[in-house]
Amino acid sequence: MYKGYVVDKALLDKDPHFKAGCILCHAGNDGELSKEKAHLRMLKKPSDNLRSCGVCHKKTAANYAKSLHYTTIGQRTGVMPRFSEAELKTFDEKVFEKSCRSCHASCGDCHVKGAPVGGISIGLVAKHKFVKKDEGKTCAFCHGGRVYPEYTGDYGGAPDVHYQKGMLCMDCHKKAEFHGDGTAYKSKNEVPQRPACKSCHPQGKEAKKETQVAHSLHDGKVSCYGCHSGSAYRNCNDCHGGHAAAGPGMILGRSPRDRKVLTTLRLIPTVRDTFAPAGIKMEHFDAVPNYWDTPAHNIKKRTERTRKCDVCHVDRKNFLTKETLIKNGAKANEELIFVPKAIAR
Amino acid sequence: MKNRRTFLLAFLAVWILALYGAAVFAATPNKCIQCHTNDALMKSLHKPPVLPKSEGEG
Repeated sequence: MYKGYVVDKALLDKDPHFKAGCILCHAGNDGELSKEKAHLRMLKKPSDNLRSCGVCHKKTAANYAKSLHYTTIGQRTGVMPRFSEAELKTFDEKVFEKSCRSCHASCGDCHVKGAPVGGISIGLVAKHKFVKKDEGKTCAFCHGGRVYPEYTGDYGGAPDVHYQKGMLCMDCHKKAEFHGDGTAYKSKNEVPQRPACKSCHPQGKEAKKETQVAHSLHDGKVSCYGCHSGSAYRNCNDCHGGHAAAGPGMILGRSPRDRKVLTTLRLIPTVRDTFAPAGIKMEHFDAVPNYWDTPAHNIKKRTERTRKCDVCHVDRKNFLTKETLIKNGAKANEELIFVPKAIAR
Repeated sequence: MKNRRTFLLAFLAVWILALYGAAVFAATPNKCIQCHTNDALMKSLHKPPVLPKSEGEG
């Protein structure tokens, strides 16, 4: 990936970031030709320190310092109900900062260079051009294990209809959501700027009467994904315990965040001994399900569930059952099982 | 009169030094770009990283 280190000469005169020379951000020694001498005390990734960009982009950097992409605190928020107080302290000291937080994105990870994943990085995204966005080289890398290939269809299912229409990540996930508004949200569900289907697809404006009726009947009871997820998506199991397993599946059940709503669930890779190497047993493991509500990024207008009521109400296809629950999972998983009402004929 | 001459000479000296300094600064090449804008050179210098045994992410 040597191309990740090549800079476009044409940028040097045009881009104001280069006016003060490379050493303004990278330090090192720009008077030397020898690699070792030139790179002495060089900062490889100056954008990993928000203050580098904050010199000029003060407000953005200040907001971003509290945003979820930077703090990654959502990961901690999700797992911490499984811990006792003492275990949470150990988690913070031994696990979160050293492991989970390595996923945080710096300014450069979206605007200059691809973020390293598993030790691999594509390097500079566009020969050191400071891009506003390049989803295929940035979002796709960090979110390339699940969401992105589901969205593009590369995972093997049908591509999301929005992708087919030429939309990429930032067409729904706007700048304000990433940069943040200066509030340190604890979870993505708290972020007011996160996308919502109804922002573009308001209820009551559907072209067909039967669609309006179907939406009205299921409003507040079934999420958009519950009917419109087009195919199986990736479910991960035990990925952090050294026995990684992942496979396709569509799982319908009660949302762990709102048990009144049926939605698509995704198996998450926390198992009983995930944090055993750090001495954490997870005293409250059973209190939190192993499935989270997932906004499956494989939307289709027409699915087998929109075509035929029987798929859910008679066949109960893809619904979570006691038999399909993961082995040795949390007791809380059973609370997500939903049995749809049979249709009166 | 003498003071005015001294002042003018000092003023001129400062300006000449400033212009000279700017010229030197402008002429000093940024050697970073000599390597980093050279595709073939980067290819010859690059060593692929040794990947650690680690779990996947994402």
